[in-house]
Amino acid sequence: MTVFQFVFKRFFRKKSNSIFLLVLPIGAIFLPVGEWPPIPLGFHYYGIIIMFIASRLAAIIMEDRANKTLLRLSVAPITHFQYLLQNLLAYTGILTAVNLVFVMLGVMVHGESVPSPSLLFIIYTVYSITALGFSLAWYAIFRNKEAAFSILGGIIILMAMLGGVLWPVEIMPESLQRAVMLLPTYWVAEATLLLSYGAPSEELVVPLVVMFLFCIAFLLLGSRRRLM
Amino acid sequence: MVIRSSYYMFRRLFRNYIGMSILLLLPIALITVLGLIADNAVDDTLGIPMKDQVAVSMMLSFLLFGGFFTMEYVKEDLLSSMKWRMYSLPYPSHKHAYSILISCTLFNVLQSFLIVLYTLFVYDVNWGNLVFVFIILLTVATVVQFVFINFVLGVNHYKTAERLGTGFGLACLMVSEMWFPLPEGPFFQFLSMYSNPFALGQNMILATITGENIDKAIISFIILLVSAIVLAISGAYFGRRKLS
Repeated sequence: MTVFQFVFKRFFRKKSNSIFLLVLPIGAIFLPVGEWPPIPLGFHYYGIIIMFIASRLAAIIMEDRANKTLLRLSVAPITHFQYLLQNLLAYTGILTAVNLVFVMLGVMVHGESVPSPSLLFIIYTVYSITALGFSLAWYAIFRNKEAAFSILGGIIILMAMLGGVLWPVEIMPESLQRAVMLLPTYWVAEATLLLSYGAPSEELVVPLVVMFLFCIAFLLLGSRRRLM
Repeated sequence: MVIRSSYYMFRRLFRNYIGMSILLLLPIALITVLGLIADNAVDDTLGIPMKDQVAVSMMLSFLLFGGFFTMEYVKEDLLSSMKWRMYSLPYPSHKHAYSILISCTLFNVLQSFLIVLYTLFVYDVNWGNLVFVFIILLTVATVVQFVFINFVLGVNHYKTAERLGTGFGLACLMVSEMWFPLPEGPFFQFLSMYSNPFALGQNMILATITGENIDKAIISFIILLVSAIVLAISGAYFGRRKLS
């Protein structure tokens, strides 16, 4: 598990990364309850924050490809599958820890108005994996790291807008409402909404399964070994 | 010489697909999405449709970040290892800096004007007199470019300049009440009205759209002109220190 360990070392060596991990979630916790949805806004917007953190984490793989570390790794006694698995596992670990801290702090700040902390944590964790897969697939298309990273920021905001994280999907035109189901952000928004309106937990299965399927699709797209 | 190299800089800018996709396609995409949602709602305080409001603020906020072009090219050509090649040419590097500044400003204006035309044709946004809009864009873009060139020439590390640029853009949007209203009081009112290029540009464009508050627009124009002159002088000072 050397690669696994080194991801942590590499990521936390930069101070700005640790600050980045904490600033956005902690800022989001203190958002008040808005008119829509009936949970504190931070819990609803947290999906966007997960995507931003995931994009920063997955950039490590992109960096490896850009500075030809991946090329050197291919002569080392480690398979590409192992490399990818250990990297993604480490990212998932970091994101899960952030999710846990976020949910716990959220419960401390908002108390009763948080519907079900454990279910929220499950939703966020499944979505974290989806977001990591998305970032991986996104970075697989690009060669230039800067370009990939800066365009991704805009894409995440657009996906959040269309997916119904920033406002209800219902106010958009009829035709668009069906099309945006193809975005992963729609499903995380759907899941938190279902939870906040107190739907039975069986109904959460559909968004969770769809997010998981998205994750598999993105991983299939993004895990191809590209040396250059 | 400056004109001729500006032409080549301009051609180079047209090949910068990443910059174009961020500063041209992204605002167009955002305006399109927000336009779908705004439908036909009318902003009560200003008396103009929400779509117009969205188009104005999106166009101006992306104009604020256009200075990154200047920063990037100044760094690439005059501050990295490329500078030794530039020094060996019979072409003074300050002239190159001028040509970068001129072409990036024009390119930025062109990009923003394309957004204006897009919103005009697709969403039927009423922009008023397009010549005035062009002049306003030119002044705002000039000030923004001067601010960014001051950043890149004034500080020692490029990373710091980059962060300053991002901070400048976000701070402008924040004090112009883009995201949340500032507290009451004359000081904050002045801050949100006349303190930054975004708010000043917005004052002028809203005046061309509605035909009201012309005096506010004229004051804004004068502030922008004065700040452009001040920034040009300080930019020249920093440039002399750094590029010689």
